[in-house]
Amino acid sequence: MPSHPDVRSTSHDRHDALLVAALAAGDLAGTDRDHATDLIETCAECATLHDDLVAIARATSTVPPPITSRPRDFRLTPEQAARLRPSGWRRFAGVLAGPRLAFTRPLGIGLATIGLAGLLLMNVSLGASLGSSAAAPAVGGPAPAANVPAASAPAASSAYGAAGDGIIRGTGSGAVGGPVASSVPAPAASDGAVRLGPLPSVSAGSPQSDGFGTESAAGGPKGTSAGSGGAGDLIAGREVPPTSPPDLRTLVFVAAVVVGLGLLVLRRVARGAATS
Amino acid sequence: MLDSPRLRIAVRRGPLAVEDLRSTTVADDPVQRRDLILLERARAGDLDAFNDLVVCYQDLLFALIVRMVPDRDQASDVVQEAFFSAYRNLAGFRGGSVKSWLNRIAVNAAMDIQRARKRRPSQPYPELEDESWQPRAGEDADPVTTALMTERHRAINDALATITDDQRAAIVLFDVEGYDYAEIAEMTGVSLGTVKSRIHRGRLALREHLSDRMELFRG
Repeated sequence: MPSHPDVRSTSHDRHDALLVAALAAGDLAGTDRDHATDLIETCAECATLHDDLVAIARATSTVPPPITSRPRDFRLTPEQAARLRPSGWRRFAGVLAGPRLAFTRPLGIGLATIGLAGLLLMNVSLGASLGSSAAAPAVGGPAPAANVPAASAPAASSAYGAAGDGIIRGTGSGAVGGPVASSVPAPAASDGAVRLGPLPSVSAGSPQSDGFGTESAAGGPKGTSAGSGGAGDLIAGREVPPTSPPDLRTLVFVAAVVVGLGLLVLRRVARGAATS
Repeated sequence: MLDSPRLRIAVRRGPLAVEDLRSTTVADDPVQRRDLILLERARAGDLDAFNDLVVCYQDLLFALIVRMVPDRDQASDVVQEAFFSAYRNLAGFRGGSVKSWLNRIAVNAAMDIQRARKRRPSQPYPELEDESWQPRAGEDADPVTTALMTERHRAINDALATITDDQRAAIVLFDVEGYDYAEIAEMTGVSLGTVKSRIHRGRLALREHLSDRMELFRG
């Protein structure tokens, strides 16, 4: 196998010119410096480049200041000062963007982070609890509704009202039931799932029940209407699930997000207004 | 809660580290002490105090900015705008060096103008041909040396006009104005590594542009 010639000594194009520039500026230390020094010692072009860069830096630093051809006066007149003096919103923006209220930025970031994290955690814990509550009846089996006679199934469905749809979906399978149930308001869903979870055993004898939970899940109400004459009553009798008041923690976290983001936006706007 | 001593300290420690370091030496420097006194008076509404600051620093700012923008008129606009901005933001001064604060405002104004000009390009650097860029020769100056220096400075200025605005600003601030990396980083709002990179790349670009005139600088 032929030995490769030393790349550094044969191909200057492959050499790191930035490394040489950094060495010329005196910005290197350690192995980088050794490598750059090695380059300069072994490559004539790198050495020339290094010397040129040093010479350019020296020449740049000796460029004299431009001679002003006419006197320049940048002093402010009272009219200009009056126009520039912040007033109203600008004054407020100046205070808000000033160093005295610099803490509003980390405060805003902190509040928004805490709020978002809290909301996220609450959602996760809620989903977990709903999932477990939806899955539990499917496993538990015996429920009061199991004793309902087949003939009274429509009435039972009507009685359970709004939960009916969720129940039928929920009974497709335990695993699917959880997330579907969680998409409806929590109290109604969990309520329905608990009370009517075992409906498959009831509806097993009813016409719409074909034993395929997935079909029921795809078209619960439709299947119900085909299976019983009281379908219209069932749909008409569906009640809107009562909405529970929002949790206090949710309100706190949402408020934290809103206040945090508000602080950040306000400070940003203020800085823009103050510097414009 | 807002008046608690701990919070007051936290607020006071807000400015960047570079300014913090400088503020420890402000009291020792009579120029900086004078600047701070003038600035405080200007903050209190004394326009004459602000104009004293303007007089102190207008030539310095102009000399800095005229190297960063294409022509003197633009440099004048930038410096005037920088003083306007400084007056508007007197309350935003966080301590440290007034000179650095004004320089930072002027450099940012120059960069803003350069960016705006890029969107609306005009004839580049018409005044680089102006003889007034050249230094005055001394009475006992050697004509050959003077001519060489003049040519060298012209070449450098030509080359500076060809590199990017960021690189030019970094090189002018470092090589010409003598600021260190940290100060330039603070002024231009970029990291230390970016400043170094801009200077290194800028010098490489200068060398590329000066490749056929490097004999002016060698020897």
